[in-house]
Amino acid sequence: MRNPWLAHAVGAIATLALLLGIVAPLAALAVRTLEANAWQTLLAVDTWRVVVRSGLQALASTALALLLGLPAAWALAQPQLPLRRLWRALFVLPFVLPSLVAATAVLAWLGPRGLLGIDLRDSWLIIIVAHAFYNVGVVARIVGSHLQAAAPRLLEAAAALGTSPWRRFWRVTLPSARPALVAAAALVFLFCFTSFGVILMLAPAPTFATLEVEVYRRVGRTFDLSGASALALLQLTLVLLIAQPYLRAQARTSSGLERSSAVPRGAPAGAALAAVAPAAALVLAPVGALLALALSPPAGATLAGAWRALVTPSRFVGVSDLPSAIANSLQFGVLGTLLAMALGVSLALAIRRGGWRWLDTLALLPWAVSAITIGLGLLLLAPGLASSRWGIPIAHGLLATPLVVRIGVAALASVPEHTREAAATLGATPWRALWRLDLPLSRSAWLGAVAFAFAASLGEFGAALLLRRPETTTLPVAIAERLTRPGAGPYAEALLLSVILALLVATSVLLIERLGGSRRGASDPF
Amino acid sequence: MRKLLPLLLILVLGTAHSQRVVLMTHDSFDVSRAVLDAFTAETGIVVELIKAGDAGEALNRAALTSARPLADVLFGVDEGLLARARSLEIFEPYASSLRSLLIADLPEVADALVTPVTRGFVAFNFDRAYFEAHNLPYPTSLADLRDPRYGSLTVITDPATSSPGLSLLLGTIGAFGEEAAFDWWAGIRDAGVAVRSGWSAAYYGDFSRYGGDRPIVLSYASSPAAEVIFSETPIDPASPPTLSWHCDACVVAQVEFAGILRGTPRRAEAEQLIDFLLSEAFQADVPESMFVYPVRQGIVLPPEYETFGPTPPASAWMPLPTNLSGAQINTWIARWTEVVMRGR
Repeated sequence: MRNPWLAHAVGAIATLALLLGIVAPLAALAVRTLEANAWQTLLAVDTWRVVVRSGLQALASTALALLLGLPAAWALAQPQLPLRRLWRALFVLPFVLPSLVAATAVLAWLGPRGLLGIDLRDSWLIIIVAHAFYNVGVVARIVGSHLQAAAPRLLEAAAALGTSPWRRFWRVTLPSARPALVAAAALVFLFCFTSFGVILMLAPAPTFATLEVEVYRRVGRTFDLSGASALALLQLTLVLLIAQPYLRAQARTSSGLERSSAVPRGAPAGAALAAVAPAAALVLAPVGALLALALSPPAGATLAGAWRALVTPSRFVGVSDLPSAIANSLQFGVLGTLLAMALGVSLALAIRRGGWRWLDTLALLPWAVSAITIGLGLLLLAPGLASSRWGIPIAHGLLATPLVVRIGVAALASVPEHTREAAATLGATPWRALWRLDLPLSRSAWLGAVAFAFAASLGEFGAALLLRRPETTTLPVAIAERLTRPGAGPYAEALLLSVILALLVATSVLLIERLGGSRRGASDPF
Repeated sequence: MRKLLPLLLILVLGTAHSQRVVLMTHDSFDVSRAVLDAFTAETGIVVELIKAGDAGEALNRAALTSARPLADVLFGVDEGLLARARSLEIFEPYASSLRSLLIADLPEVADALVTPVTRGFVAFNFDRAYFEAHNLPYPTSLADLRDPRYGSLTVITDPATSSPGLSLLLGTIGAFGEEAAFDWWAGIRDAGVAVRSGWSAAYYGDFSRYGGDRPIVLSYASSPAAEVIFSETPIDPASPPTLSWHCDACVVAQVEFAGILRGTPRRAEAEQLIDFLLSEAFQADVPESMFVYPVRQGIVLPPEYETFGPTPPASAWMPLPTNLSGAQINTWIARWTEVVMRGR
């Protein structure tokens, strides 16, 4: 874009929104609560023990996710892989499931009456396995998309020169995938380092705490808001540092991609299936265990009874029925997606067309900050909004914005420079270029972004962020409501709701695949 | 449009005229729709509910917004949190005339700062089927849990993250004294007790009734009644699925208070709301809506409670430590974490 005023304008507005929604609340809380003892918290041996331990945990989790995810990535890049769309959809599912449901699923697999018959709770192993469950798809999709896109020509050349398949893999495939590999690893590390709900549910002992869990303890029980703010700022700093290699690597993966129209000769279908199997098993096992658990309700409850209870309006104010929870979830999903798209497209435009490289880091903020402290900060800044119906879609929208930005940056990069220059020469205004050129050319990616943001919103718990009202109950909250009551009925209802939510999320994810097509993973947010 | 105008007018005026009051509370708060609607019909006051996390988070959030209060009344402060609430100065005293109708053995509240509304009892529950199948006698005192035979069958919750866990910690300190209490905690740690972050994780994760491997769970005296209420199939009074353990000094009473938030512009409505919380209708509703016991005299418990979840006898109660303060509780939680979670 020769005259990127449009990118600057919308970028400025979206940046302002991010600052208001994310930075301002954190700053407000810090100003209000930070006291001299914050330094003691920051310098305490225990704090750095948490940092080091979460760092090691995140390294191990990332290693396992790579170990299982890389073969799957290779398989996704093989044209002969059967059911490719299904595998790709499967790998997104854990990423957008609410942690409550994901943890329940992992417990059904590795918990006290897990399918494997071993109880791994309160161990590093269960945290690492759960994190791998969450992130194996992130690895498979980022690296897989790149392998698919970048390798064909080089591989053809190498094959023509008579290089052995093994040598081709080591000398061509892997080096060409390195930036994608670094990007995937850094992103997975970031998610594991800031993990919260999964850790609290699977391994609550203080030994396993991350900084986010420590923040939660201080806010909820010891009332050390000063220490909590200090830890939240520490986490923010560390995460933005960790994110740098990711952003650099992603900048390399999404620019200068060559496209080959020739269909490369891939590995046989059997080999591809074998490579995708371990990662698929890791995702399917907990989901299957959850399904098995939900389908066999405890004594005193039946599936039919649980379903009846879910669809009948309760006589209590604090128990929401399925229809109203679904209606709320869908409504907040649509509004949140609209906001995420508006912000995400604007930020992506500013980053790609306006040259605001630094905004890349800022756009990651919703993933880097401690949700609990943002929630408290929001309460200080805009108590009315934080307790209103509108606060929920706004929070969902902000949280989904990084997804859209990641997709958008890659999508805009895929629009050829010379096409845009031609448009400008012919007198197209920036608006016109955006509407007639940029968006249509990367249409499938944007549609994918919509579906991704929507699925993420459906799974968003957001309890840490906002105040709730009985009339704003969403599906994840309706699950939590039932888990606070003792009895076979509420338990069976909570499990059934979890399965319904997983099905809804899976449907949106399959839609991503249909809309996004199988082109170069254009709809991948990573 | 001309037809719509009167309608709009009615709507606008209607909302302007209807009084409202905002109740901030924890996530476990509940009430029957019919009971709440009757209050609105009688007084013209619409009650808005804001759920602000667990009891601790709700107090935090009320304190953070104290300059511009979001709500008029906060419900859900227990004795452990009351000291903090007092030092945060978020409440205005209100001495409801209905206080004279309350039961006798409730904790004293200086200057009527807050009003007791419900009382729960943190108690261990047994999975009856497990004890019968294994021909295992029930333990008879908390000391028995130091025996690995029982300790390894017990699951509790972390006082740092859960309210029943904190109640049990405070109860043992109040009943045994601090040193003896931490001896007991070290004992049950060595006996193999399991600790979970919250009630649901322990009850639906470890409790053998729900497929776990531990038939003794830290829960509430009302949970066995809830099990019966929530069962689709009728339950024989002779063989309820779970039992609440009411041995001497092994139950902790958990009184929850409501208070008027300082600076509310709707003081009169807030007072009416507190009186409503003490009304017969609301008090009779709490056993089935929140699984706690009424604090007003002469309220008849639902039949399931009479059989499966009676009020624990006073001999079963552990006294809370006197002069609870926030700092003191933090110290105890820190010591508990060292002893039980880090094994020091």
